[in-house]
Amino acid sequence: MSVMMHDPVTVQRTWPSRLRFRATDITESNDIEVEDLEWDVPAGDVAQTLAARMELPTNVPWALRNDQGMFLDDTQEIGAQIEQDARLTLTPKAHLG
Amino acid sequence: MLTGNCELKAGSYPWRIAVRPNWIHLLFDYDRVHNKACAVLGAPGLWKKICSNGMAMLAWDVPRWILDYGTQADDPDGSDSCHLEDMLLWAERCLVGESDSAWAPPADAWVKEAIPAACLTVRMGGLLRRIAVICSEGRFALRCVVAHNIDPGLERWRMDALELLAMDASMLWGMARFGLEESPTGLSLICEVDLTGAPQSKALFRTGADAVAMAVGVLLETADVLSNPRIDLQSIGDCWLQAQSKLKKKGETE
Repeated sequence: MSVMMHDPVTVQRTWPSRLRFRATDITESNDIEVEDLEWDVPAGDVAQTLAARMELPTNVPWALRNDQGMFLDDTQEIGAQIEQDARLTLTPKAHLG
Repeated sequence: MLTGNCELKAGSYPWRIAVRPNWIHLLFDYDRVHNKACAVLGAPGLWKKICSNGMAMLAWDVPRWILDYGTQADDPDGSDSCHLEDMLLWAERCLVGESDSAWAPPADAWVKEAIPAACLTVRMGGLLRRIAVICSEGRFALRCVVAHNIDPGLERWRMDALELLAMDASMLWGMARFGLEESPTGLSLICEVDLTGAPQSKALFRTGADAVAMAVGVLLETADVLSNPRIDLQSIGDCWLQAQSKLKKKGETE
């Protein structure tokens, strides 16, 4: 039996079924180790989940940035965008104008 | 239109149909069913073991809002609703352990249309789960891990509480069945809706995904607290021990 996710993965999965990464908020007041999330959850849901864990307001949208400063795509699976043991920064989505 | 309760015979088994406002429940006396494996995790179909009025029963929940009470001839191309006769045939096959050799899981595109990707994520506070769509030759199931990596050495009362939670949830939530399952990474509490052999109705498949998402969303935090030995719940543990002690004394005096 094979496990096929709803959005078929075309590349061979090389990461374990659960990711491990560190996340901090933008002020670096919170620094948490995350080990329980599945690789195929959308990055946007991960951002909101981490905001709840850090007891940050959950009524505002959050995004995740990798250590290169690039924002993760909210709609894409997080496992396809980061490496194991990555460091991520939780950033509020703030727009001017 | 079906109303009230009735009893039917399928082979040598008497089965009861309970019609509720939103659901039709097919019920069997668990002790009289030979194929008890039809209700365990991973078995095809929606049979699950529940406890009703102190009796162990097998239950199969049919969401009424997806049923089309017309005949197939009225709507030969309709793939959204589901015909009751198809549902009953599917339930009966699963009960006796038969499979429909002509059945094949739906195509990817059909599944994507029936179950949008957003329906496959469950988020509750700081907890996040993904519903896995298991689609292989001869199988289609929606599964979600409620609690994972449960320490096998977890205190007895916590394991009992998790098992009770699973049993209670199977009774409360339509279609979904729950159970503890061994995996390479440890014990997991699983919620699943197995649609293997199901009539290909988009409404049925979408309802299955919604059933898993709703049930898991409600149970997530409780299961997380119970399965995490670092969270001190001594007072609840003490209550459990006292209740066990009382039951033991009661048993000795009777």
